[in-house]
Amino acid sequence: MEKFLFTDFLLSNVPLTEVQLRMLFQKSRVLKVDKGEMLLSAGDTCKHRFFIEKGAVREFYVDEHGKEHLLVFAVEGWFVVNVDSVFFDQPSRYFIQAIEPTKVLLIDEEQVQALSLQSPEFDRFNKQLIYEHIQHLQHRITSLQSDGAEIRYQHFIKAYPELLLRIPQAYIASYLGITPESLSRIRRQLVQQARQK
Amino acid sequence: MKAMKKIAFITHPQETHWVGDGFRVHNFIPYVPGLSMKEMDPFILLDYNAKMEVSPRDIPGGVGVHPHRGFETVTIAYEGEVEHHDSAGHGGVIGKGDVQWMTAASGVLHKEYHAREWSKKGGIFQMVQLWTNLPKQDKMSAPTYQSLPHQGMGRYELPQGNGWVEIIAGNYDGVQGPAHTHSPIALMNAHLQQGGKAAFSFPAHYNTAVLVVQGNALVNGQEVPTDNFVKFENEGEEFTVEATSADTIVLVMSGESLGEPIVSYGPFVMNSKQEILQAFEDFNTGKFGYLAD
Repeated sequence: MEKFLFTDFLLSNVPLTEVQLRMLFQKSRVLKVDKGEMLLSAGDTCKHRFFIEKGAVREFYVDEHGKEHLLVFAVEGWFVVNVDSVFFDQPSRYFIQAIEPTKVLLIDEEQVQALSLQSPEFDRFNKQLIYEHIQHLQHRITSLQSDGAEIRYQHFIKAYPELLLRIPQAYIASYLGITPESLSRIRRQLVQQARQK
Repeated sequence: MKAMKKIAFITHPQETHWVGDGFRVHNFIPYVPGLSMKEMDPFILLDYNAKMEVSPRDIPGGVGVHPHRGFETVTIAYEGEVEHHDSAGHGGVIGKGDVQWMTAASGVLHKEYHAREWSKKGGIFQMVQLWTNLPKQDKMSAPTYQSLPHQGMGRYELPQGNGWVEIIAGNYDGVQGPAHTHSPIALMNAHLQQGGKAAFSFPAHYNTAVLVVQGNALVNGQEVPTDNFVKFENEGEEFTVEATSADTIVLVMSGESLGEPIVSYGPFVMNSKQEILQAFEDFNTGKFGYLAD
């Protein structure tokens, strides 16, 4: 079996047998996409979770004025899951796009559910991932409502220290809910503060 | 008589990838098997932009602001012109035969593009970017910059008008190259006429390689076509390069491994994971300075 980051990630969290792993992989497949390619477009449905083996993607929403709003990033070792499609059978409101040459594993949701029934440990782990995701989104909403732009940036670089190297600043600004100009201003202020120290 | 340096392997260029929208490169170091950072240290990256036609553009192709820490970037222009600016206030344009030797050390932000005026006309572009590792004691020193125009390179004339060796760094038969290096490094271009031959000698333990940049060559008698890369074993000292076509250019590199741990993440090459995390933090909090896009 081809070696995947996903397998390491899974086995370091849940004890699964070879048979169970094969079951999960039965309908899964690997997809390699170039920078800029869409993994999912708004209006489409998909019944798999994306696990990033290599590269980086963004999930974003395009408003009625054509403006993009970035919901999440994902880099290697992370999941990106379109909740509309995977859990509610609804067309996606979001686009998922590669922002680097990317290799993703498409993990079939039916197989995830089947394995959850068979393995209580896997079921617990799967739920834990979803709870963590909800917690992350709650914290993100609270931060967007109550923190100033600079604090949001500080939280971002603390949580994801390596992302600024990889993700274009315009995307990071969108994620933080500020304009690229505001992000540049915040970064320039930090340079001045660093010089004064 | 010194022993001959044996060829470990010859590799053809792998698939290209774009660096920004200006540089279409074949990577040799560190991604080709046998050419990892550890195996080629102090040479820790070699991106080769083989000859390509660049269409005229008003907005030059290139790569925007990005940081470096812990090493040096050495850019050798073979065809076309490259422009560079960094947050330490250095910058300039290099053209055919010129070299930029940027010691990022504790950290700079920089950007590099096809030179604006050159880009308007376009033409053939060819370049090598080599990263050279810095010893632990120099990784956090202040950034510096050496602009090395082709007129200032060391020049050793081969007998019978067979060509010359252009010395960027290190020494060739008593002729010294202009670049200041932080560890023993030799970097030279052999410019050979058809049948012209140059002999090189470096200590056996140095990591040594050549890249045929133009024309075709025999390295120790073995055929090496254009754009191919030759890695030598760490045994023996001497090897020869002979041109089998007119106007052949072969880049020769040899350096002593620093023998220190290498931990890298993208544009940071340090000695420990802790130092990489520190680099993230310093970059994110503005300690690399500011450079406008």
